[in-house]
Amino acid sequence: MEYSEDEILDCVNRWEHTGLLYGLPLHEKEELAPIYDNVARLSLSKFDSGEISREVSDLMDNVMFPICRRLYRRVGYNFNIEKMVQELIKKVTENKTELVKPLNKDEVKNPIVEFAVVFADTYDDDIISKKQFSDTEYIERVDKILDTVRHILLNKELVSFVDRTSSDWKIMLSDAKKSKNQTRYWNQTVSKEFITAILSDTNKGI
Amino acid sequence: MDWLKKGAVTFSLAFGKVEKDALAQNDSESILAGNIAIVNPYVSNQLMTDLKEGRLTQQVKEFRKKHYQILRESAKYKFKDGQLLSEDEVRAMKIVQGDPYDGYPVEVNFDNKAIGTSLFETTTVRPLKVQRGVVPRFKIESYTSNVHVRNVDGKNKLLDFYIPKSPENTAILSELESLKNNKRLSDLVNFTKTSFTTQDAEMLVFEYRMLAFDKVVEYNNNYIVKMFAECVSDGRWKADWTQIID
Repeated sequence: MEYSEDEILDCVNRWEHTGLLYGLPLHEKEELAPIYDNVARLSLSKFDSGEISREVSDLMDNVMFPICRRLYRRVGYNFNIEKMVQELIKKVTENKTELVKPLNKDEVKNPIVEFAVVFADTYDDDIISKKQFSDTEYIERVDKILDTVRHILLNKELVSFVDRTSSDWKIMLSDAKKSKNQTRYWNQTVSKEFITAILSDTNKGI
Repeated sequence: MDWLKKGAVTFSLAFGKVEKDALAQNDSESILAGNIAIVNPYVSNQLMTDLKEGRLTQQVKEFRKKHYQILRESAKYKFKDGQLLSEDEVRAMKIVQGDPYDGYPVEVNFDNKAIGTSLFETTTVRPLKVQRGVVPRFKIESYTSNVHVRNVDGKNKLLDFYIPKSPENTAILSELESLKNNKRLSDLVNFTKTSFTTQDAEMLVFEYRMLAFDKVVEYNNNYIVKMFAECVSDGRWKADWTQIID
């Protein structure tokens, strides 16, 4: 569903009033409010048409908005809302026994929280996949990462960081001098930070 | 048909209660204490209708309370490589080492990247806030990309303001170079308070009262302005107001 500027403003005003957009910068409210609007519309229509029971509807309502906010944080606003809601109905129905089970005293994780995290962090659809690397691109990226990590780990100098502003990544060295062991340890830490950052970007298709 | 309607109402009310009991875990029991009955099980999903129309009813307030509890809890976890990482593992992932010029451990790493512009804004805004009594030539919050908070003794912290040596920061670089070589009172570091809120679900507020300028160092193609500060707010949850329902 496409929104005009006026409709977005109206949508933000309505959802702002409920307090569910609290803590977000304005441009994110403008992107998230239409998502909230659409999932609410879908939830209502699925319930009204009898496609989902009240039990599933109530369970879904509880997790739907936190999931949207987290999913939006992960992939942005480009995901298939209808498919996401359909998938959510399926997962809630499959897991409803777990979701309503009373929490044992020694359990730390709330099943609802766990469900929301797992769903939002793993949900995928055709629109999200478009942002992913192809197999060939992914192989090239992995080779490049491994090559760079090897250069960092085997460097005799202290590595400061990897400059990735251009397509040719450059290993930047520090002026500081350390012993051989300290240098190895330091470069291992830099490698870990580099791998974490680059894998995160790779998963976003960057 | 009356018996059927009556039965359906009883069932719905009973079921609604069981479900809400089951949903209320950890610190969310209070939601139940002040809970109201389901108004009318025959009509459409009233809560969703109210939300969609922007009506702030009692039920919406209770729903909002739960919503922020789930957001806060879920910010502690991450699903990665086929498994749900524990709270400690997620926390460990966020820890960075920082520059090698100070030994105090980095406990907070804040990304001050510009918040995108909206339809109705013309300039970008950065989330780092600074309070000062002077009008400076350079506002440190406009150039800082990251802030590392290092723990000195619990109450006192060392704040590292990372300013990248990038083309868009050219104007401030000579000032930083001069401050690095010659420690003096500069309007760049003449501010009284700084604060920031971690973004999205976490929403933790950190606030510091500045004590003294320490030094400027260079690291990873950044200038780092280091200042000692006293902690005023060490991660207060910004959405705590949602937990109070009239």
